[in-house]
This record gives sequence, C-alpha cells and structure tokens, in this order.
Amino acid sequence: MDMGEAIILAGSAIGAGLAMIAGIGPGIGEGYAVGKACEAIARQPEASGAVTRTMFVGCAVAESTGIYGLIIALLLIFLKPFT
Amino acid sequence: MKLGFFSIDLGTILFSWINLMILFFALKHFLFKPVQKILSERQAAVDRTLQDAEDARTRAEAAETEYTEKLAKAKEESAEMLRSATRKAQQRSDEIVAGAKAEAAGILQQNREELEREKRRAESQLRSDVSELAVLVAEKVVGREINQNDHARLIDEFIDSVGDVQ
Amino acid sequence: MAIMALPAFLQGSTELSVTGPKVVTSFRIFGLTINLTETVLLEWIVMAVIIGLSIFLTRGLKVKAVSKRQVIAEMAVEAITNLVSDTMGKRWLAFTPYIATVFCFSIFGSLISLLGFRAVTSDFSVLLTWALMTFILITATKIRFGGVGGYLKGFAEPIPVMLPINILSEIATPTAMALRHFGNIAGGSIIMGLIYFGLTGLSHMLHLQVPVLTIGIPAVLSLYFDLFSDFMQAFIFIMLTMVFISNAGPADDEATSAA
Repeated sequence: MDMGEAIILAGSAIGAGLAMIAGIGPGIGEGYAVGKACEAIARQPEASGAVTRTMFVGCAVAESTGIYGLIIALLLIFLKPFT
Repeated sequence: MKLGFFSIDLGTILFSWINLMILFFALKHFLFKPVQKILSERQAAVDRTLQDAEDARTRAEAAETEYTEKLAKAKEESAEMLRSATRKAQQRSDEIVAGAKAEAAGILQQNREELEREKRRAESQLRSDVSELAVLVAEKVVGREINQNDHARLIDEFIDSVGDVQ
Repeated sequence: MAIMALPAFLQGSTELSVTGPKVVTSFRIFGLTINLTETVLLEWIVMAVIIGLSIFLTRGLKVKAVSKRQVIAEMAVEAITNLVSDTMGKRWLAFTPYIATVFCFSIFGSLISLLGFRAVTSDFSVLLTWALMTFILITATKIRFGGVGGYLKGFAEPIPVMLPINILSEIATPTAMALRHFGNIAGGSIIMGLIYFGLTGLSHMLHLQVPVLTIGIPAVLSLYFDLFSDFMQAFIFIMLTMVFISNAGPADDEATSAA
C-alpha cells in the first residue's frame, strides 16, 4: 500500500465520519416534530391517528437528509470511489 | 458478474416497469374487481333490506293509525250508544214516574170526589133527619101538629144561622 | 484448519462485501445491453406471491356468510381505499389499485430479505422506476388539469427567474423519493450485514468455531432495520406518491369533492 492510497483511505474514512454529522439535523428535527405531535395528541386525543400518520411521514421526509449522509458514508467506506 | 451497489441499470428499470404494470393489472383484476363487486353487492343488499324495513315500518305505521282511528270511532260509537240508551231509559223512567204520579193523582181525586159525595149525602141525610127530628120535637113540645111543610123553611133558616156544618 | 471442515453456511459471514445484484444473463438489443439481474428474478417471485395471495383470498367470494379469507381481502381493500380517499380525496379513488400495487411490491420486496435473499428494494434501479412512474403520473395529472401550456407555464411561476429552481425541484421529487427508500433499505441491510460480520468475528475471537453469537441477537435489530423500516418506507413512498399526485390537480379539489 503506497502512501497515496493510504492518504485516500484515511481521507475517505474521515469523510465518512464527517458525512454522518448530517445525522444531527434529522435527530433534532424529528425530536421536535415528535414533541409537537405529543402536544397535539394531548390537546386533541381524538385526532391522534391523523397526527401520528402525519408525524411519521414528516419524520421520514426529515430523515432523508440523514439517509443521504449515511449513503455517502457507506459509499466512502465500502466502495472507496477515489482509489 | 455483479452490478455496483449504487448502479442504475437500464435492464432492471425496464423489467421493473413491466413487472409493476403486470402486478398493477393483476391486482386490479384479481383483488380489486371481485372484492369491490362483492362490496357493492353487499351494499345493495343492505340498502334493499333497509328499504324493506322502511317500507314495513311505513305500512305498520299506517296500519296503526288505521287501527287507532277505528278504535276511537268504536269508542265513540259505544259511548254514543250508551248515552242514547241512558237517555231513553231516563225518558222511559220519567214517563213511568209521570204516569204513576198521574194515576196516583187520579185515584186521589176520585177518592176525594167520592168522599165529598159521601159527605154531601151524609150531610143532606143529616139535614133531613135533623129537620124531621126538630119537627117531631116541636110537635112534642108544642103539642100540636105543626104543618111540616110550613115550618120546614123555618128550620132550615135555623140550621143555617146555627152555623155551617161543613 | 477446523474452520475449513465446517460447511460454508455454518461459518457465518466471514467476508463483508457491499455489491449490487448479480447479473443472471445479459443480451444486446439495438446496441443496448439489457441485463436480467437477480433483482428481476426476485421481483417475479414477489409478484407470484402477491398474485397467488390475492387469488387465494378472493376465491369463492360470497355476499353473505363470509369466510376468514374473504374478511382479510375485504379489510385490505377497504383499508387501502380509505387511505386513498382520506389522503387524496374521493375523486382520486381510481388510483387505489396503483397505490396498493406499489405498497405490496415495496413491502414484500423488502421483506424477502428476511428469507436470506437480496431485498428487491435495495436495488436503486427498482426504486428509480417506481419514482419515475410517480413523476409520470404527476406530470400527466398536471397536463390533464392544466393543459400542456398550463404545465409549461407552471415552471415560470411565481416569477420567470424561478425557472431553474422549478426544474430542479421537479427533478428532485422522484430522485429524493427513490433515494430515501433505497437509502433506508440498503443502509439497513448493510448495517445488518455489519452486525452479522462483527458477531461472527467476535465468535471467532472467543474461539467458537460455529458463530453462535449470530443466533438470536441480530433478530432484535432486524425488527427495526427490516420489519419497521420496511413498513415505514413502503407507507411513506405511497403517502408521498398520493400527496404529490393530488397536489398536482386543481387546488379546489376538496371543495368540489365535498359538494
């Protein structure tokens, strides 16, 4: 393993770690959304079905940015596109 | 040979699209069409049953109204009959009582008249007896025969002055 | 080596590879290479299962005195119909079979990974196909209600400067849908692969020839990464499809359907 390849691997690993910082956003966002959903259900328990459904869809949409980060990280670690 | 993890493959897209369409038509034909047909048939059956029940209810209500009317009329009739019978009976009893009263009054009147007649007869009898007796007494007292015809008038006057016997 | 004496399936996952589907056969038509991949074969299995199940469930339907099978079939149809009518409105009920198709395909295509196959939905091409189908339906709906002129004019709203952004957002819709579904399922399967690989390595470190640690422990994580994630992604994919299609129609949809 020459030096250049080693640097690329190290960079890929660091890049993968950095890509997973994208997990912070969805974490905060989904926590906020779930908290609001809990408030909404507490205020209007009869609407819990609709609130839960909407919350899950919103969470999934919010989670997609985190998933993009995960895909990038996986690509960097396992496919090593720059080697 | 393996494709990449993140590959876009034309063949897979083509086959997947065909598969999606096949599955769409298959599900539509094998699942949705029969189930929806059954559901609509059941809905129709339920509607029909409800309609029948509604009709039966309407009929029952009509019959009930009719019976109620008939019952009311019958009650009315019976009450009317009772009233007329009572009235007739009342009339009849009034008639009977009136007849009885009239009869009683007639009998009373008759008795009274008879009594009056008896009294008159007794009175006149008494009067004649008294006059005869008076003449007889006077003959005895006077000692001579008094012409009865002459003195009858005097005796009558006397009796009248003594007082009415009645 | 004692390990070599064991059959391959008892050795656990001794290597971790992240690859796409195998190409079963490939042929050339009009200069294009058409690959028949593992994914397509698995799709056929999934389709056979779904179609067989629906034929089995709808056999001998009766109006009265229903069987358990019929109850299940009716509940499934009514549930998906209610979902479509709640989300899209009554006038879009014609989309119900398509929504049901995508939902079933996604669920069964993801759950097939529980049997040890590659999940159909961990192939990006499949999800791209479905997302493109959604995109085609959105565009068709827009053209149907606004005409071709109205559709093209929609790109220059609210101001003509927004044209590139509108085109980008139009392209982003199917891409994001496909990427989201793919990322969840494929990411989940990679994480499950990592867990199996790690537990196998741990077993070998503890000098266990048969990797007993891979029995049972991954099942708990599989509940989230396979079952929950599969259901959620299938549900979200159809929800987004329904919302995008019904939003492509006229805005007074609710008012006209309520009237």
